[in-house]
Amino acid sequence: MGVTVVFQWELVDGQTHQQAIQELHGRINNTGAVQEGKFYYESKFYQASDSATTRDFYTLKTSEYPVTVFARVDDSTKDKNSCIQCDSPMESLLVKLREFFTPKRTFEIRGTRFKLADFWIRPGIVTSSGSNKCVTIEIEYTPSYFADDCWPLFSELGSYILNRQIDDKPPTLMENNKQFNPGMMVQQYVEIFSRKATTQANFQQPMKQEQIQAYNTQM
Amino acid sequence: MANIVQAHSRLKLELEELVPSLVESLQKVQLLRHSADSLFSNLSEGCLLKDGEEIDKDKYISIVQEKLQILVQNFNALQTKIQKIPKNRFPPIVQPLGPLGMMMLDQSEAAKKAALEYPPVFHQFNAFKDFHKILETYTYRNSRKRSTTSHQMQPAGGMRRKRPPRVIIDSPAAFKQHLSQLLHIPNILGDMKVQVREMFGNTRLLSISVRRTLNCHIILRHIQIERVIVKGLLEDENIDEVDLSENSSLDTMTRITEHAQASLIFYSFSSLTDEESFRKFLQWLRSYKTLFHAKCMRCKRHLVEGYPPTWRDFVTFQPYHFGCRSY
Ligand SMILES: [Zn+2]
Repeated sequence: MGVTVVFQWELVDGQTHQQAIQELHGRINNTGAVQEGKFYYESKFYQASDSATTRDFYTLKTSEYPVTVFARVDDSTKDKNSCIQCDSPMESLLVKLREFFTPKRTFEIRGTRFKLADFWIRPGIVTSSGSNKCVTIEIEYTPSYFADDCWPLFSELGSYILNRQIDDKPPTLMENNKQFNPGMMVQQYVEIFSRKATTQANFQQPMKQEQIQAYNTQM
Repeated sequence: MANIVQAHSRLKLELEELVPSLVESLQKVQLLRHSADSLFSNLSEGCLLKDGEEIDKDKYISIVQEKLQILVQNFNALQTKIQKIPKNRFPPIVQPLGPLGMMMLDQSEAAKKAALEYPPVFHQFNAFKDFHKILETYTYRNSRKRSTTSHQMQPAGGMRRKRPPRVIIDSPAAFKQHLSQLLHIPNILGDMKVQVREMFGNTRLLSISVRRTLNCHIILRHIQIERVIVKGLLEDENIDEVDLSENSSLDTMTRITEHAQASLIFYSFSSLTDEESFRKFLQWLRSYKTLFHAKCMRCKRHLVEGYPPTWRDFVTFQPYHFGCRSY
């Protein structure tokens, strides 16, 4: 997995999620990218019953890596990026640990994926308990593993697709010559999910104020 | 016999008239050459004198102008001299022989005329033939041939540099020593990591990873590059597991592989030695460290059809998209 960046699409007034996706598809097609199948992500939030000794965490399953489950501990320090990759039987193990970790919420992302040379572009709608939450665009550049190196490419492609200026620096979690790992992708999704959770429902794990601010400036 | 004596005296007369003016023209030629020589040496030296002193630019220009004037004067003098060389007063009279003699007997005026005009043309033809012979020996001497031996190859003006004999490397230790010499390029090891795997005989696999960008696998026989394949950074990281039969799964790297093969042809067909062309190739490869963040020198963009500028100029090493490259 090369450098992967997840952007969130800001809905224009009166625009539905479906219309946003259609607009995105048009822009992505204009770049010369071609459709290559569908993709599907599923993420679960597990809450620890004893928050003193155990931590909450997210799992993320993706159609791009069918036998892997990514799990990320919900750490307040973002830079720590504690992500583990497990084989799929992890899910059945979690069922047995129901008493310690309760599945609280499920997020799903569905969409069509596009290929442009060595880029993968995955625009999708995030849904939770049956309702559309937001629209995300994931851009993956397979040859590079250092966001500092290839950020100009993301900046050029991303600003065209999103029709807005992209930051001239990569997200802080990938900065400073860190080699990309899948945990960074999971974290970006988790940030988007938890942001939704705080703004839309009175969710258990509110994001710290400075964290939201950092996130907003980042995008 | 009387004919021969007559012809001889005529020739003598002609030469007596010709020789003094020829000598004078030759002197003029020498003068012209001298002035041209001094002008060119002045031009090649520039403002810098031999002892390291510098002359004033205006003064330098005035010197050059002066020399140019002398050159023009000498040239004009030569031209007028040449025009004064007496023309051949006596048309060559050669008695037509053989079939030409028969033509002289012909009644028609045209045939008679042709028979009289033939001998000078014949002379000219012979002169052409001689000239052609001389030319042929020259072109033969300067032509390149694989089988020519060194004494045949002596170039007229020492223009061509001869390739030194190929380096033969017969042991891994000798190769290592040679490789360290080859890598003697300033700062090259900061940008590139080089690994070597011994294969069969004198064939080796050289894996070069260019800083955070790509891996280039090179098959070497002695130090001659036989094959090049470029792969992504995390493809075939371990040199023992490099798959040389398959191209990279990344389109960008497949493109760069093609460019690398073209660059090999470019450098190995230049007049460089094996070592020099290998070094040039390494320097060219090093320029890929900017693959993901350098803009194309022509269109000033990063992406064209989803590709960064994958082409690097063979001489300047500057980045271009393949479609934007300069010729
Ligand atoms: Zn270009």
